[in-house]
Amino acid sequence: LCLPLVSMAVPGRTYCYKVVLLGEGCVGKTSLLLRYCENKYNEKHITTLQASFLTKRLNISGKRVNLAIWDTAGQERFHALGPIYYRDSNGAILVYDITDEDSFQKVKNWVKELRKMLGSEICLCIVGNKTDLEKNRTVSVEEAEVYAESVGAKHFHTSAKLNQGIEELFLDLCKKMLAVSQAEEAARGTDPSRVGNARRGIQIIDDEEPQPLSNAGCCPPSS
Amino acid sequence: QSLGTSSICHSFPAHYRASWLEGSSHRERAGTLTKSRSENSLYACEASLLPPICELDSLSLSSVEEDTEPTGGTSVHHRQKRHSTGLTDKVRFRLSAVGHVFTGLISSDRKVRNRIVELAQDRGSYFGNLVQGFISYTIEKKEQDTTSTEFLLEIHQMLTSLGNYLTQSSELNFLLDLTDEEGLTDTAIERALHKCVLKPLREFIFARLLIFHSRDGTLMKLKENQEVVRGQSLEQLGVTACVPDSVALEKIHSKFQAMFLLYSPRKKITHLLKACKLIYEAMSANSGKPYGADDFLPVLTYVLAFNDVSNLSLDVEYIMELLNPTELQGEGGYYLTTLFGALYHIRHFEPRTLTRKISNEAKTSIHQWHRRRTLHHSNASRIIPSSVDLLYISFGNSQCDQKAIMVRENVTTADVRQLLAEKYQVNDPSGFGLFISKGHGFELLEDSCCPQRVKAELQASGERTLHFVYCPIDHDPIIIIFFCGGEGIKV
Repeated sequence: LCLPLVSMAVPGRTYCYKVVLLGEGCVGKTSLLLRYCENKYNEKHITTLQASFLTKRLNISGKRVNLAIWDTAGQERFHALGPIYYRDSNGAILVYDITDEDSFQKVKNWVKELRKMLGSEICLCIVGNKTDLEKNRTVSVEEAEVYAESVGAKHFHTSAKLNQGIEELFLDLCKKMLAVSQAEEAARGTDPSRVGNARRGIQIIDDEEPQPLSNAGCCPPSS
Repeated sequence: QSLGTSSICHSFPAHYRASWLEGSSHRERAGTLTKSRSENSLYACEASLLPPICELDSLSLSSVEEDTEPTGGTSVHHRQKRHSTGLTDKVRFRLSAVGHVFTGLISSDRKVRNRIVELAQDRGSYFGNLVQGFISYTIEKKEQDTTSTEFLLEIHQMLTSLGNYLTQSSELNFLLDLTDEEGLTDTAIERALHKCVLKPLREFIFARLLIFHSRDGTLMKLKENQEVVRGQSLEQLGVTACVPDSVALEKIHSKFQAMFLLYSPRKKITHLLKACKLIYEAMSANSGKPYGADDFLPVLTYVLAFNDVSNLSLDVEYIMELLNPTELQGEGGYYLTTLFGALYHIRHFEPRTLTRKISNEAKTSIHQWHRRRTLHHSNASRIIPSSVDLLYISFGNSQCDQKAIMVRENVTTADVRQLLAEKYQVNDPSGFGLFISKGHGFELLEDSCCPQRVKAELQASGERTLHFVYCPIDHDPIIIIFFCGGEGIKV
């Protein structure tokens, strides 16, 4: 009964990804997220009161992607809660404040923890936020980029205030996650026993008319 | 024969469910199989058109979930829609179109559900026999599971197997043909199964969970630490936004209570989202400022300090283990995780002041904390603040900027000032004082006295026109008389 799914799935697939947002308090996680999600497509679909859990729909070269973005509390006192938030994530965005060396150290700790708990399957992006405060920078660009590369993460500079670098960050992360899914699909193609598992990373829906992005989130369940 | 193709999608390996926290050790790409349909339903209900909360009920699937007749459900839907003043015609049109689509789907959805529920009652059918057998087996077997997780896991597996059986059973085929919406059929089957199995077992399941967690001491620890948390100042809890006042706290409390009494994990989630929405509303205090997790988690912790954490903790476990895993990736899953996180945080709470280097300031605050904690102990049964605890305080000269603040009898002026400084976002809290106006004058309350006691004393002495004002200390030439210790008045 699972088999027909595989054959019918190709044209109408939507990739659903969970992305977790990590970083110390005050580095601007929430602003970053708000910028990204309210900026273009779905001004109306988010209750204006919360920016902890947001969704975003994308279309990347014909592939539909649904992002569910999970914000986490960055204060040290909540550190122990990390695992319940990042479990089953496809991607993680680790944010630091370029004017705050400590927040960069915190990112390093998170990277270590994520790699240890989730291995290499999770796509990581390290983000230096607040580039509008360039003159107060304490974390050197070179150090950050070298570090990111050494742990297999991509490094971005953003300014939530000026809305710089945010689209690129999420787009790149999505492409990376798509690449992982496609590698999985390819592996599945040669190994039918993995069908059950691979389905989990991919949501399959009927091949209906393409959903206009402007409707993201407002569509009734049956549309 | 052709069956609904995506019907069998819940057959996850058992260990996926096994544990929530430890789950990350056996990493799977699991929860990502998200049905956008179900996620959107909750999401749309809370979010899409920003309607007031009464309309959310009518727009969400939760109204569909009520066990009323379909006609009743739709008329409610239409009636409430007429009252929605803030919606444009375009939106209204859209809603009504959605409504029509729903009505059509509801009826077939309902047929599927009714048929399943009917079958489950019929011991003569294979399915009914399975269901009834499982229910009595679960109730009768005792003390066999070693953990609560195993206990719930078994129930979840049974639900899964029953679902699988139904999608293949010839008894349901004619109904499945009626609904070409496979997702909807899945949902219908799941909801029907919850009704057949979880409804009769709910009370029993919670009784068992209570035994498990009374035995392992987790509930005891949770309740003890709740007391500690309740004795913390907002600053110590890391609260940076407004917190719900007593009225809002009570509303949230009743949402949680209602949530506990439900058997359906889905409906529980809907209630949870509504409770969270209330919290966000209180946090933003009409400023409309959106808050992220950094702000929300401390406030949720504060809110939980005034709620039945034992029931909530059992409820979270119930939902986590019995909800369809595909739901855990959406908004409902996020807030369930957050609730779990906040409860976990409370259970492992350690007052920060005790672990840090002790400065004079910290000493004072420990002293205050200790005092509050002792006092709270005697008040332990009073979980929900009553309206007696409210103090109406206006900001500056403006009488209209009056806020109701929850202040217990034993709370000092110093604590109230701290709370006010946060609430009104005052930059220089030491320059602001709490005054009481009576007759023609203003009197500054001293930090160590308790405003509620002062109020009570003055009222007892016949003073009628009392009100509290929070404003700069050097504000106006005012008559300043110091109240001391709440014991009496020194002039």
